[in-house]
Amino acid sequence: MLAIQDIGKVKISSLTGHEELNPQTILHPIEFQTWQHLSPDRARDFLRGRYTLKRLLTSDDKLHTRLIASMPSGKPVITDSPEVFCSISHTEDYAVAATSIQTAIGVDVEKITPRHPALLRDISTEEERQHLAMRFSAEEMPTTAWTIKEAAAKADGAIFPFREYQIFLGEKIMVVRSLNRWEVTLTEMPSHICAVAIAI
Amino acid sequence: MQNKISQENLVAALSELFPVQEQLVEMSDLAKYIKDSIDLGELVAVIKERHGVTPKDMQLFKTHTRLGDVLKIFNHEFH
Repeated sequence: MLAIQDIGKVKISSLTGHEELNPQTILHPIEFQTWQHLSPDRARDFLRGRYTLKRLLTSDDKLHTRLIASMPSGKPVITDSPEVFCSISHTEDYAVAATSIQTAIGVDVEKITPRHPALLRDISTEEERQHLAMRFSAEEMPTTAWTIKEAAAKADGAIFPFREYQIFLGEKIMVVRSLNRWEVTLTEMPSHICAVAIAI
Repeated sequence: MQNKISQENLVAALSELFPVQEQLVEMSDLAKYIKDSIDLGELVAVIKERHGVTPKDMQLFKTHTRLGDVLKIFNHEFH
């Protein structure tokens, strides 16, 4: 099931369930070639991610005419509308995509599961952990911290490590790296957390 | 000089973090365990904390998922 939120200059779509998607009606021929060489799990994620993003761009049946290319960093680019910022994320159960016509955007969705404590220690400072602990449970903290930082990093066109991205929790969730800032919105989904970061 | 990890070190970390039910060898495909970026982040964090080893180029993990290649990436031996 596909749900779309239109929040003015930012649009977010999320795909749940495991309905069969037809790659030939969704993927551009160049995407189809890529899809054919992926492992089954990655092919599924690729197809669901592309479908979820393309549905933000159009509601017609010409999805296969739109090409979403990937930068070397993995960042998606809408080739016929490169001025539109976009981002895709997926887990086994969800695919989420976001577009913005005004500002860089990043989205990440993760399943909340117990994580080795080394993960949270690696991606956050003691001060961040203290603030996170005031708002999130011990089980939620590693995945939430990761999701917030990955969304900001994706908006930044980067990948982890994330130590340089600092989380500030106030009325809003902010991430700061050097002179760059992102505002992050969290959405709780069944056993998952989704973060959308927009550059400000 | 960069520390290095052995295949045994890597297998031990993988077996602790993921539901590994097979004997992992050099050609084992780790994509079935490292499905999302956070899975990779967890592995990197454990290896870093235990062995002081940090991979140089994270992008390589996207396209190289065999255990032997993952080991080389951690040890800066993948060219």
